[in-house]
Amino acid sequence: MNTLKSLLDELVGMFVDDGSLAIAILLIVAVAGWVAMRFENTSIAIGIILVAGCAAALIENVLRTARKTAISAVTVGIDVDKLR
Amino acid sequence: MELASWGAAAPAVAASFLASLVEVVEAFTIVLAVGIVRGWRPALVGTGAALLLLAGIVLLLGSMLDRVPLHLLQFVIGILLLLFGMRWLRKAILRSAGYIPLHNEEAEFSKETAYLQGEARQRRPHLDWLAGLAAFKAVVLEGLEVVFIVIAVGAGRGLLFPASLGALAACILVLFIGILVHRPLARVPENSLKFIVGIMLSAFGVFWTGEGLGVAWPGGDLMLLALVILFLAIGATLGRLLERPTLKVVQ
Repeated sequence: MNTLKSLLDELVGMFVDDGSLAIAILLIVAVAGWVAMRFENTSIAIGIILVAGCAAALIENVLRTARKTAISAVTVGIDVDKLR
Repeated sequence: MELASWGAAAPAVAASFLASLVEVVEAFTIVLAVGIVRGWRPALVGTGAALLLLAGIVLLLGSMLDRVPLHLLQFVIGILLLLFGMRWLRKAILRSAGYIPLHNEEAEFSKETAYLQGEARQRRPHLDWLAGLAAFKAVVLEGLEVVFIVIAVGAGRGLLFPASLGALAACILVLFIGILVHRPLARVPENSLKFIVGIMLSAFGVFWTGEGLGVAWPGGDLMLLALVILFLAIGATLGRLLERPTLKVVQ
């Protein structure tokens, strides 16, 4: 049972690690899909939405995670500058 | 397959080779620990059973994929690749910048070895079964990722065969080196590999999601290269911008 559970966890974990990044990606694809269905001749617009959206989602997520981790380190009293 | 077709298949082969290299190294570490602590019988039985299960999954998925319309297949696989690739890329950037500890094969090996030795000391009667299960689990879990990557980078353009060759080459390489050195392959630059694969899979993901939605990418397949350069630039810039000293335990 434990093996089955860890298999399922691993399967989900293959695609979802940080939930907010996964949600952001799905939202971007949803917007691109909506534009594709709603309007005509939107090939370039959809391409731009996908490329710019995914790039922005990645940058925002990495910056936010780094900031959060840095704040946690300060909270537990680790002076990062002293380790340089 | 003609030379030109192999040229078009190169990104898929490279992505599946590099990604499989990372996964096979991780599975090899656990199988090696089982083999050394409990003998090669449970290690090989567990590994063999896992490979059979993976082969069954590949056959099942392979026969199903033929029945799915190409645009739908590209769209679904594109989204999964985006989720998978961006997850790897995000982690690789944070690891290279020092915000997440690097994966350590030696530590994994020691942990698994200590666990099995602890069980052996308690003289558990089902120890061989437990050891075989550990090998089985490791190969299935890492193998599932290999299967996904091969299907994902190969199915959208009918490149399943070359992508499988890439994965097979990685398996043979790891096994060959592993048998030679007979210890965990800790020197494999895992994070750099994950960084490169994350970039490639994210690029494939954007490209195929777009194709699935009917995007006619300017430059056709060359757009893949542009996407790789874009993600590489983002990853390298973020890694350098956020770099901080590695946190070490001072004695």
